[in-house]
Amino acid sequence: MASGGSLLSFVARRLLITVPLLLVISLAVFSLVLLLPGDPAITLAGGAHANGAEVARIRRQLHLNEGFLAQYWMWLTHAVRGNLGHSLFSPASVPSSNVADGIRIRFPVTLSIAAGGMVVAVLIGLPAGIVAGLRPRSWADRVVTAVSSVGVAMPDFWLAMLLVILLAIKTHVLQPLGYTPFASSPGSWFEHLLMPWLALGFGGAATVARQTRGSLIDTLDQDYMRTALAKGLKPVRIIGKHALKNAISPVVTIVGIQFGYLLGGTFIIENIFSLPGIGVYMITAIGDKDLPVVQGVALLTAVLFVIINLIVDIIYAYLNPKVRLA
Amino acid sequence: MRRPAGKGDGARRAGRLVGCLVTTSLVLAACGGGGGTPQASSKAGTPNPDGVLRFGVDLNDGFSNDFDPGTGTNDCSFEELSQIYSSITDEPGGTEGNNEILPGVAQSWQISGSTLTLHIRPDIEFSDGEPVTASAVMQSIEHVRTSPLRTSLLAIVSMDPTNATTLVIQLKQPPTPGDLLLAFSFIDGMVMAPSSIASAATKPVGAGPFVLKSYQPGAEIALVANKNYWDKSAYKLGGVDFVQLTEGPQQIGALIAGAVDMIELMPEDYATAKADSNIGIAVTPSYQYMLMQLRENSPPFNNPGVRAALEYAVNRAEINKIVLKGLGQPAYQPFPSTSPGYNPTVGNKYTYQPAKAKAMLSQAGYPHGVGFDLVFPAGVAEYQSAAEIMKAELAPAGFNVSITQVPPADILTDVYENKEANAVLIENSSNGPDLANNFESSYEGTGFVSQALGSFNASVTTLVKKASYSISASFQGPYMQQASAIVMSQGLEIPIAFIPEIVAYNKIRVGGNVVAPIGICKANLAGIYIKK
Repeated sequence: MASGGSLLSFVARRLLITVPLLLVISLAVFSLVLLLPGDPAITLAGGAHANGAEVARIRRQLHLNEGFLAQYWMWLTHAVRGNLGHSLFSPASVPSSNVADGIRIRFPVTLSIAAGGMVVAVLIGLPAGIVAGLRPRSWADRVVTAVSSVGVAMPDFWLAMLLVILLAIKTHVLQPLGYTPFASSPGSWFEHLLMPWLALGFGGAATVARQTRGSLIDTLDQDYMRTALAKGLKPVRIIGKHALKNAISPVVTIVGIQFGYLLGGTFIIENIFSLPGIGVYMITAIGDKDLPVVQGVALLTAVLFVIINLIVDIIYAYLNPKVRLA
Repeated sequence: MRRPAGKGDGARRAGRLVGCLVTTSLVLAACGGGGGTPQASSKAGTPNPDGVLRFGVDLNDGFSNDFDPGTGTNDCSFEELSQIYSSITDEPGGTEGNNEILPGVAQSWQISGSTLTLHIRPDIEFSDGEPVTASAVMQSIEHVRTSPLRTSLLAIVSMDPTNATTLVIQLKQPPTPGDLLLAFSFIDGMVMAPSSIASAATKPVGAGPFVLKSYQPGAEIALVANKNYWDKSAYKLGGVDFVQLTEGPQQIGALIAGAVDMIELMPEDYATAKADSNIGIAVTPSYQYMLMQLRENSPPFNNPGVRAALEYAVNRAEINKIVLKGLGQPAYQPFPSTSPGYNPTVGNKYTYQPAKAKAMLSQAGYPHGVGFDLVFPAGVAEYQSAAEIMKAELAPAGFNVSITQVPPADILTDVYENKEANAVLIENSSNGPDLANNFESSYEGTGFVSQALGSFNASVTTLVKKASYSISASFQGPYMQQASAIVMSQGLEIPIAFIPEIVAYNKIRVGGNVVAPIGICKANLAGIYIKK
């Protein structure tokens, strides 16, 4: 009862901290307006061909003449209601010109890539880390350590290109570009995303493997593990019930952080595999100074990071009651 | 007509920057195979009437996310929109030396003072079966001219469809029917079915060779053949899918892997494509040229002697050889040898002569040389390479160049508005019949570039005005030849190299005569087919 109450209290405290954090993030995201050079009104009015009256009209329409805080408040109140504005370069008559719609259309692609990459990272990294951690300094441990060192050092875009050369150009096994929604064809969805998953997940797998190995070695070295062994418990039970449960807590944190990194990594991976996700949406918008899109995607990414961290903290607190007191 | 910079230039460059990081790996992949030919033709094989061409393009950079010519903001959308909409006229393209405006929806026209009379083709239909009439053309123009990008249409005072096939257009004084006729070959002249105008952003209906089947933003535009197309015999494809393919070495990778049938090839990927026997290559000389624009109202380029010396300090042949893999042409003047604006007297006079340049620089008051800042768009391999070569080859001539990359989207602000840097490496075009148009912005008093860089030139302006009496390239040619000589002798700009248009395609799947289009953001799909 006491521990359950503590967990709820911990969650409530974390949620309370999240609110001002999100406000600070939103202010930072909106402040991007100040960092970008140039005037979007001139660009919209035809760039080199812009005339003053048209520029003035667009400035009024976009509220660019108003003060920074007034603009921020207007943007924030719209954003909390899910209205992230319209792309500067598409008319309102185009459904996907709405930034929220643009994100809604593209986010499933990005989420598919990041989630698949995470699955790859965990499916490869966790067993590899356990194998290495159970038998330190064995040949298996040395192989895992060596491969994971390469995995951590290798940029995911480089691995992506190697995969394209090997699996698409040389052997024609997989498609090097494009995306099919899961609902349209699960098989084609899988085929198009397998290479991005592998490219993105390999580095994550290396990190997860290293963390799991280290954590497991530390746990197995604890006194209570020797006690369990002395009591005559079977090794499978000792490892499964005691060692892994305790070793997994820091791994959960790493997996959560890795998911954030993987989301960020999709921005480059989407470009290489020509996938229509929010990474490409964001990069295109940055080049075009399409501020509403940049702000919308930046806000979404920041909020996702906050949510992921929140979930990780809660899981960690569940697994390790001492954390709830922090 | 010189097109404004596309809104997607920044992202296109960014995409290429990502690509540049991985160039080496793809080059490594390109081993073995036979050889492509620069002017490729793949005529073997029977056309499959249902065959769909998969064309890899960068939709994120090059498409407006909008099928309405009146509201789209990215001029590069022309590549896709021109497959759906026919324009009133047609710009010459695909063949050298063809410099006259061609008929489009209008089969002919007459110019009388400030009156332009268009004669619309009789008995042609939109893809939905509506007839294409003078009234429909007028309604399209009225809609499209609401876009701030379509400044050419501001010349129109009134329009009167006197019958189903005749549209009389009154223009402002001074009359510029030629400019308008040329603009009509672009997005400005795209003809939309009147009933579709309100929903054209997502449901376009035109009189072009294809009809929109489906659209996935940032992923794919699928088109099918328009059964009502007025020049149906010219097209043999059952459809075309414009597939998202980010610019960079992944383009050639996707073509080799068979994921797409055709791409626009970057010069740096030419060797890779040529090494694969299944890849065909078509190269078309272009009027698009890389040049250095100079800030002529501040030192050191307010000194005509310094500018003139600079013309002899650039090794254009070397840049063409290294940067464009020898596929382009050194630009010893602003017009290529195939253009009526080419001045044979100037010819190849401005070859690389660093000793002469140094002597001229000394005469201009800089015996110990002079330094200047050169800005170029970041993330574009050709510009980076050209800038580095220029820095090296200008040094023996006494020019100490400091090169700086600027994000493409910031060039407008930094160079032209904030007046930073002494020079900028950029791309320009003398394409099309309106040869003089290229110089309007650069050298007329009211020109954007002229005002920003102080490059106004009275002599060139006089010649441009004389040339502008007619849109015919043969009429404008002699005036532009004189202008070309002035530009080079006074160093008003430093042309560097004409950039080729290159298309690469899968020879196993694609048949017909593949021709790379002249000009950017275009696709020549007429005459090609997917083999059975």
